[in-house]
Amino acid sequence: MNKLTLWFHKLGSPEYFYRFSGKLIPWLALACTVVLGWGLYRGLFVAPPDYQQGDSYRIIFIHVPSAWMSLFIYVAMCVSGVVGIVWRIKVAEIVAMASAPIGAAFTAITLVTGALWGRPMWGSYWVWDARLTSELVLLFIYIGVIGLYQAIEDRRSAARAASILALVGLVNIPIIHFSVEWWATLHQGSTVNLMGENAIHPSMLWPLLAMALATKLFYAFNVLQRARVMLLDQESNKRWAQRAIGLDMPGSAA
Amino acid sequence: MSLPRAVLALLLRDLRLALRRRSEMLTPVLFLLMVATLFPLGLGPDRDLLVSIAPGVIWVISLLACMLSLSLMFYADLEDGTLDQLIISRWPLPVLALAKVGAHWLVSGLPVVLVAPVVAVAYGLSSETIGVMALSLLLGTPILSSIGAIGVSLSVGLRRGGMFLSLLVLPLYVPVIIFATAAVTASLEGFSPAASLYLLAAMLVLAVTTAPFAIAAGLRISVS
Amino acid sequence: MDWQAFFAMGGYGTFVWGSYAVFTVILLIVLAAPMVKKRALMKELKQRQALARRRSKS
Repeated sequence: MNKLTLWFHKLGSPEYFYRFSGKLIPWLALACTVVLGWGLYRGLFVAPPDYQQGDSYRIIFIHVPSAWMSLFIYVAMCVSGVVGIVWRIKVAEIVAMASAPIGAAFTAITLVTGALWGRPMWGSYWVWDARLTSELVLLFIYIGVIGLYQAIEDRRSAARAASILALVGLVNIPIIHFSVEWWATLHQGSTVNLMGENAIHPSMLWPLLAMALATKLFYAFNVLQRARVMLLDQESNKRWAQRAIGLDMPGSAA
Repeated sequence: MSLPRAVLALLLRDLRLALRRRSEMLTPVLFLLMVATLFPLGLGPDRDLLVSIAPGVIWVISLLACMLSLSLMFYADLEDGTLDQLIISRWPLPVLALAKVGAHWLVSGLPVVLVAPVVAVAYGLSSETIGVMALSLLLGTPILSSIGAIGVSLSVGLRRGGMFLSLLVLPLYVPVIIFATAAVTASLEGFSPAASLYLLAAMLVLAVTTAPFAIAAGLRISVS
Repeated sequence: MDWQAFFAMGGYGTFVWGSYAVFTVILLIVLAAPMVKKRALMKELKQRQALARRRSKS
């Protein structure tokens, strides 16, 4: 077995995952803070106002990265869920389920910041535009996945059931997106081309990319932290978990 | 017993059970009729308004009517152990799941398809539009049953699965309602509904061929 | 640097700062949730440890 696959197998062990992620977390937190700080500084202070939208366009530095994350996390959740279902790896199941609330949060941010941007630009908080509507449906799917995971008693079957729902959603998301786009063009409403034809200026592009990276680092940091707590919770009767948090209970499994 | 006969036996068993509980079978149809009556009462009897909202209203009510009966789909089977028997039987579970979906559609989808044209007449739609409406329901309601069955299979073990089900299933119904109402609206406005109907048919094929595998996986998790 | 102009955001201050506030608040909640959960879990596990020790002694 080559080194990478070997490492992957090791990562499937809860104990190894717990130790490894513990070492990784401080670095991710540090990197996230630095990139976030730089992105916010460049976006809010350095980047010039847009010649059409004035200063209101500064919302894209959080709106667009959040929208990217809402899809990125969904795909990450599904990949992890498949690994969990196919190979019955507990760590993968937990990572998938730890991802869902973060993804839902980014989807909610996308919707709210989109509404706050739409008010000055389109004159109303909400328009039944294709992208807005499919983002809303995505939020509903996230809520369904989280709800199903919370509702089922046994943690492992809950994770597997919720992963299957997420996968069904993954098949549906392109169809939903396509159908909603089709529907929006049928009901020719206020489809506004936000970015325009011309390419985005570097002084705006770099902070945007920095924020995109910062949100990814935030996700990585947060998902590991969530997964660690969930892992401790589910493995709390195992020796390794008790050792890891400095407890010692008589009569625990190895 | 061969596989087709096993499927037929399962289908007939479900139909026989449904026929013995006729009130359950009539619920979707009565729901459709009653809610369709409420809309003109709430919005006023203006004919033009009713014609323009008819495609959406009738479709949304039909969708909800089909969803109402979903939660019962595997519930009794779980209670009396039939579900365990299906899972450990030597027949492939996805095929049996498809039979269950078929039975559900025959019991709750087909009556809605048959009654909806009556409602459409009351809303003042032309006969041509009513034909498109019936066709869209014929293509669309089996999709509702198969996607719905995935949601049921995942939540059947839950105590309050019924309430929960709508949360899981409704977002997945979005494309169905869009294409179906687009077809009826197109016909209403004098355009060809063919494009939407073809897309609906494509989705039907996709749903019927892939959903059974998701249902089978869901049932295995729920029963274990 | 003109701070007043900075906070006004060319007349879009409410929307821009509202968005950033929503972003910050939601992500802070997301950030805090696992920490709160871990604290509760630790408390529960310590209680269970104390119980288990008492049982094994008697």
